[in-house]
Amino acid sequence: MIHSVYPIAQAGYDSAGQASADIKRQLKQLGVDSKIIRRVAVACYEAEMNLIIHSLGGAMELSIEDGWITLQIHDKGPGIPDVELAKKEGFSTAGEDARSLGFGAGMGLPNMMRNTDDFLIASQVGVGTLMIMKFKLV
Amino acid sequence: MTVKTDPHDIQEDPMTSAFQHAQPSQTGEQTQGLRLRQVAQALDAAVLTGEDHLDIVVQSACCSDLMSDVLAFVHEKAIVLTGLANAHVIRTAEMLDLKCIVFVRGKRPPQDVIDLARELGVVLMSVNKTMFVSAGLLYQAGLRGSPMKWASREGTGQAQ
Repeated sequence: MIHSVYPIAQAGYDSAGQASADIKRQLKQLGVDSKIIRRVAVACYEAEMNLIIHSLGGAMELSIEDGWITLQIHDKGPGIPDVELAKKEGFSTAGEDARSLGFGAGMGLPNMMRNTDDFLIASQVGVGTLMIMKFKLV
Repeated sequence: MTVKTDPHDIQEDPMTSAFQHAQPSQTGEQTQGLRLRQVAQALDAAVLTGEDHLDIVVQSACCSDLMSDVLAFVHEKAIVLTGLANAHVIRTAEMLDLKCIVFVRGKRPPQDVIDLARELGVVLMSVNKTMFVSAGLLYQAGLRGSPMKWASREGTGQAQ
C-alpha cells in the first residue's frame, strides 16, 4: 500500500503543479497504465490548482490499495456555498490573478468529475471542502 | 499553362515539403503528422529549448489560453499554441505528456520557465505571428485539430 500526503498552501502559485507532478511520477514508477495516469494527472492538477486558487490551504493525499488509486483532497475553508453550481461548466469565482494564469474558466470540477471513476464532494461554508476521487486500476 | 514539376523546387519550400509529408493516408483521414522541425519551419519559429527533440512527430494541434480547456480537450501527440507564457503551461504539458508548446504573438516565457521545460524535455517555440495565422499555417502544413470530444475517456462524454 502507498500513502503520500502533500500539503498545498493558499495562493502557492510558485510551486503549483509540483505535487501533481510528483504523484504522476510515482504512478509511472509503479507501472500504472498510461491512460489511467493521464486521467489521474489531469484531475489531480485541477484539484491542486483549486486548492491554490480558492482555499485557505489544504492537502492532497494519494493512496493506492486494493486495485484503486484514491486522491483525497481537503482544505481549511472557506467552503463552497452551492456545490451543484460549482460543478457546472463555465461557472467560476476565480479572481483576476488566477485568470491571468490561465485558470478560472469554470472547467475545474467538470474536468475532475469526467476523469474519475468515483467522485465525491462535500463542503460546508466556514468549515472546508472534502473531495474524494477514485480511479480503478484495471 | 505550365506547371512546375521539378521536385527540387518543391522540396526547397519548407511549407510544401511539410504539406507533402503530412498528406492524409489512403486508408484513413488521419495524417502522418509533422515533425517538430517542420512545425518550426512552417511557422518560422524560434526554438527556445528542446533542439534535440525536433524529430518528434506530432499529430494535431490545439489553440488555447485556458489551461483547463487544454486539460479537457487535448490528446497525446498534440502541440499547444498559446499566448500564455508562464510555468502553468509547462506543468499542463507535463500532466498530458505533451512534447511541444508554441508561444504566439511573440511571447517568450521567463528563463525559469524555459529551464523547467528543458528539465522536462518539452520543446518550446516562439512565433512572431498571431494565434490565428499560426494555426492557419500549421493547418496548411497538414496538421489537424484534436477530435471534438473530451480527452478523458475514449468514446464517452461527448462534448455538448
